[in-house]
Amino acid sequence: MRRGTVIVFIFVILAAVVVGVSQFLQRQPPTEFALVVSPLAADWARDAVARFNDTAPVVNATQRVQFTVTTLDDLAVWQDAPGWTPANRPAAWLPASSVSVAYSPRFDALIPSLARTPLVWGAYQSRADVVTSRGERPLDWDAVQAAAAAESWAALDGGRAEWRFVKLAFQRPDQTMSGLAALFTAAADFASAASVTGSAVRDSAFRAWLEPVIASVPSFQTLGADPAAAMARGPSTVEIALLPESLWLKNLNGLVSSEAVAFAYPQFQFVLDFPLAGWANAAEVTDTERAAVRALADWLAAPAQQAALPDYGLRPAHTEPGADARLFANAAPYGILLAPDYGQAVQAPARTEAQSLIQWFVTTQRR
Amino acid sequence: MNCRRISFALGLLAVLLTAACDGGAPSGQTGPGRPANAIDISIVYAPEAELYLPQAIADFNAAYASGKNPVTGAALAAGERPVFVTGKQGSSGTVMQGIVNAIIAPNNQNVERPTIFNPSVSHWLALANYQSGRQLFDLNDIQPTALAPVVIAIWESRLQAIRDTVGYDEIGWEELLGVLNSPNGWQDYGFTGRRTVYYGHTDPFISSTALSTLIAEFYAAARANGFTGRRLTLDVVNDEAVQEGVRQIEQLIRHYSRRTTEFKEYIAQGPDYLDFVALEENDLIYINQGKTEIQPPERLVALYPKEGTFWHEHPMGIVNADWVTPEQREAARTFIQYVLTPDVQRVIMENGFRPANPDVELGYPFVEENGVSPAGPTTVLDVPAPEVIAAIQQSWSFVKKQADVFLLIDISGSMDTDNKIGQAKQAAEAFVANMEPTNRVGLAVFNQDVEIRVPLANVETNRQQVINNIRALRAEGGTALYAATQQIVGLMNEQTDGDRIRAVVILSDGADTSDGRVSLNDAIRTIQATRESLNPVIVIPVAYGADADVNTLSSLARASNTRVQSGDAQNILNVLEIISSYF
Repeated sequence: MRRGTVIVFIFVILAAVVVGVSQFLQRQPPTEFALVVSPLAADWARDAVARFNDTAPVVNATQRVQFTVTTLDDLAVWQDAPGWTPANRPAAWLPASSVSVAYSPRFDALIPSLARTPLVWGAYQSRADVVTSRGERPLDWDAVQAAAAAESWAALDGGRAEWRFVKLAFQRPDQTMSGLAALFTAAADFASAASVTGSAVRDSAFRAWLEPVIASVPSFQTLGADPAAAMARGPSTVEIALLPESLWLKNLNGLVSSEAVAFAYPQFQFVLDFPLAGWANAAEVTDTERAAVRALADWLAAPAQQAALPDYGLRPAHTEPGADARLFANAAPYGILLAPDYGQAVQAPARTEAQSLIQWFVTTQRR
Repeated sequence: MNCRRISFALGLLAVLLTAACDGGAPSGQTGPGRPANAIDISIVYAPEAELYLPQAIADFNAAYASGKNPVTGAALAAGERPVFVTGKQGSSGTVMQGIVNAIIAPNNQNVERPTIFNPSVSHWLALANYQSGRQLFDLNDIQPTALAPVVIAIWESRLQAIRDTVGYDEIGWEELLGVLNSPNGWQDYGFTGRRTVYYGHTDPFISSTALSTLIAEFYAAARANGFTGRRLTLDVVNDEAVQEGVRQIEQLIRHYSRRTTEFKEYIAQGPDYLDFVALEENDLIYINQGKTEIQPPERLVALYPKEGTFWHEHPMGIVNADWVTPEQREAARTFIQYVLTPDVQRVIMENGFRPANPDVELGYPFVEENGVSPAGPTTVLDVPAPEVIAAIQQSWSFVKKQADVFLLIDISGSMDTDNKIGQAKQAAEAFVANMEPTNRVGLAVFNQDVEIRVPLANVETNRQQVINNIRALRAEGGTALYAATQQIVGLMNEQTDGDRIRAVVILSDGADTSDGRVSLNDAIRTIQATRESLNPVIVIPVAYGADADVNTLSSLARASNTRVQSGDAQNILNVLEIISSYF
């Protein structure tokens, strides 16, 4: 046999082997793993995971894998609400905050951050003008608390009687990490200290100071999953809110259809940092699962997925959005910055203290 | 190496690789209907969503059936299972109770186990949690899908008259009560003819609009009694003076109705029938667009009461119960995401709802020609705690306007044919059996003579007596329909207890065979004469038999702006529901 013929023959054999293995793998049902994601990152994660699955990923040389995405807020996970067993637990968790991973003994952090979004104050301009005395003081916890304590706009200098009660919003602190983080920033602001201690959140003066703020939320039940969308109905529904920047960006068009809005970054900042965590009990984790989660982690941290984040109102883990980031550019006239001053990073208290704060909130908002 | 061989090898490789890559295509579909491997989810939605949700469900299912994700429009990814949605409508209060029953009383006749509950307003989801004692709905995770404020739909001429009289534009419950309390009613506002105010709303145990309206009435009454807080509490709701204030507002009621669906038709009859009703904004647009059976004689306008109102956000809540799997939960999320896509939201807006997706710009039909203000309400009321809402609901039986109802049953010989008398007796007995004990009921019968069998008294005391009399009825003799109507309407008009609905329900085949001493016109004049009073008598005829003289009965109905109901055997339950809903 001529040498060329032999080479062609070997090439065809190799191709057949490759194709055979590929066919074999394609016919094997992929091993499915669950990724639990914070609702704040769900849209991005779903699309990124769909693209990951489209690559028909194979780990450990022969094992096809894929991920399904379910959404669950951090608090449900670290309070163990789903009641997971080894049979139905997720392989990976993408919570809103690394604080949640620290609070949850069942997960270990794999990647410290995959995305970021800071908490941002937002107010309809007419209301912001009143609480900031037309820009003489910042839109911050002190200004907002003073308005809440006054209860009605008629009692505030420049406020109009027909606006009636002051209407604030933040996400539910007993059900969402973003809502709980809002309370942490309030505690930091009240104590003028970035490190939120147990005594700070138990301080009766702090709680008395915060009570009118909670009473000024018209109804947590009608704010739904997205208070910024509720606020977009107009200032008759919500006038001022402290929310993740991504929610503001996604709802900007609706918000500014009523009147202009003003955004401000708090001095004591809690940036939601979206880490990726894996199941902590190594004895329950197979090699395939470990490799699959690693492959997914690499995929989510890769430049292509990171570059997509600004389209969802989120900031990449380690860079700021570019000038071409449409959502950020649209919000720039209202105070959203590509590279804001994040102020002082709030350090969360211990889990038991956080739970005590949540319990106090539940009792207070029922009054 | 020979080029042909290399080409052959590459070609073979390409063919094999192509074959290998085909394995990822979606499979398992069985045609344009439900794909074989679909995840099934169900939704029960409020009646008004019937305008747009069936089509959205059909389009969603069709996308999956053709192998596409309806949200992204992309082909289904490897391993992505299609979703198949089935939907049905149900009144929010009834469905809420059905879901609660499924948890705490699964043997109840009313049991619902949907994946998604889509009531008109989130009050129902909070009430479901409260009544079941568990978190059936995660209130932090509910998604508004279509927005509509509750408005007072009032005829433009009426609203203008109030504004002209009071001298300002900001109108609310206070000014509407002002008309009621004015010595000469509408005549003091420049109208001739009827003096009294006609208002209507639906049942707050069933209808979202009615529940929101009743809460708003409590706010208005509380403010009138010096309440300055921002949120109603149990103490305020249980305050006698506040309840009396609500009772006073309810005195404006001409009659109630079970659902908004019927009320849209009632009010479209014009200001002679009702001056204003509580409606969702979309219903008002529907009427002004001429979509009701009866064309309104003038424009209705949306009054966003100055005291405040509520948004109905048509939330979609995924049920936290053992009949919803995590897989179905995610599938439900996909459906909700689809409903929020701009294309579906635009369809929703075309049907008179404000879009819940803020990216969809508000446009037609939100124009002033349709009687609405694109800016919407200026004041939104705080939603009270679920236990307060429950207390408001429970107060309904003692703040609502009570009714006096006289049953007038035709026992002439013609009612004996085709068992018309049997059907009338069955309907009358069921009606009395279901009356609220605080209402009053009386029974009269007629053939050639008119006889009062049971005088008007509290249902609690005379229910059994009325039922026994109904059971003993026999048909014979002539038909003095006009004389009977004149006598019983006259008798009801003498009931001077002005804070009760006064009604005569006539069950007859409608053919008057008397000596003509009392004519149809005499009967009509008697009915119409009561319209001049502050509390007119309502006449509701129910026609029995294929040969019923519907024209005559319609004339009597028209005299009090009601409609003839068909008393067919197959329609008994429906008629009962319609008649009962008036009270």
